[in-house]
Amino acid sequence: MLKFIWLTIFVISSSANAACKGILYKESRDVFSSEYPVKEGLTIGNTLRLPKLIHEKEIIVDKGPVVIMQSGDSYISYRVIDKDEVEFIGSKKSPYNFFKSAFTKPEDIIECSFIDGIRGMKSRSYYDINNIEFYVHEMKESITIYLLSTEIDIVLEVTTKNIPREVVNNIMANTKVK
Amino acid sequence: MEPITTQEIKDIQGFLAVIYGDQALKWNINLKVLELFGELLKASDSCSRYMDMVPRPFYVGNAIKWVSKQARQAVIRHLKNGGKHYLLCLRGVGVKYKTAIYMASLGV
Repeated sequence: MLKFIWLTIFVISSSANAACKGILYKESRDVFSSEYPVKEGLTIGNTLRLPKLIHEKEIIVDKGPVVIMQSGDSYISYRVIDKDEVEFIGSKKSPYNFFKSAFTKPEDIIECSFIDGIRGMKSRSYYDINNIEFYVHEMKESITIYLLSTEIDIVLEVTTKNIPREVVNNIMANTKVK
Repeated sequence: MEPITTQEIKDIQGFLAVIYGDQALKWNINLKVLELFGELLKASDSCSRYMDMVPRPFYVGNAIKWVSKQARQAVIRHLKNGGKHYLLCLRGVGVKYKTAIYMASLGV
C-alpha cells in the first residue's frame, strides 16, 4: 500500500534571550513514501520502533548503548542518549528538554557547546511525524538525525553513511512510539 | 606518521574520559580518532573562552598535524596545563562527536 505522509518543515530561530546564536532549519515541504514493507525493525527501550534498513552481516552493540549495523562501506548506527548522559555533560534537564532547548533557543554554555558542533552541518531540517520530532543534519555522505519525543525519556541519535536520503526518509515515515 | 607512544595514548584517552567518562579509557587511539578529537577541540566557539588553541605551526590548513609527534605533544601539553575546564565545556559538543569517535576507535 502506498501511503503518503506530508511533512512540513518548520523554521526555528533563536530568540534574543538565547545564550548564543541558535541555528536555522530549512523550510521546505517533502513527500515521504512508506511504500517499503517494514517487517524487520529495531525496538529501543520498548518504546520506540524503527525500521531496519540494511541487511547487515554484523551487528555491533556496546555500552552507551550504541548499535551499529554495517554492510560494506555503508552503516547505520543508533545511539541512545539518556538522562544520565545529559547529566554527565552538565545539564539537569530531561533529554527531550535539553535537545529541544539546544536546537531552538540554547540557554547555557553546554547547550551552546552542543549546537556549535551542529553549525558545520550544511543541510539542516526539522520534521514532526507521529509525535516524534526529527532534527536532520546532512554532511557529505553522512546523515545524523536526533529523534525527540515528549512521550519517551531518551533521545535517539541515528547516524548513517552512504545510505541514500530517500531510504533514510523511510526511518522517519515508519518510526513510531509504541 | 611518527608512532603514537603509550604515554600519548594514555593522555588522549584521559582527555576523552573527561569528555565521555571512563568508557573512553578503553577506546583504541588511532589517527582517525586523533583527527576527530582535533575537530572536536576546534568545534566549539562557546568553549574557546576557556583556552586558546595550540599554536598555528602545528596546523595544516585547519587541522592539527597529528602525524607529527611534536604537534601531538603540543596539544597534550596545552590540555594538561589548565585544559580541565575547557574539556568539561567540550562535553556538550562531544555529544555530536561521540558516535564518530567511538566508531573510529573500532576501525569502522
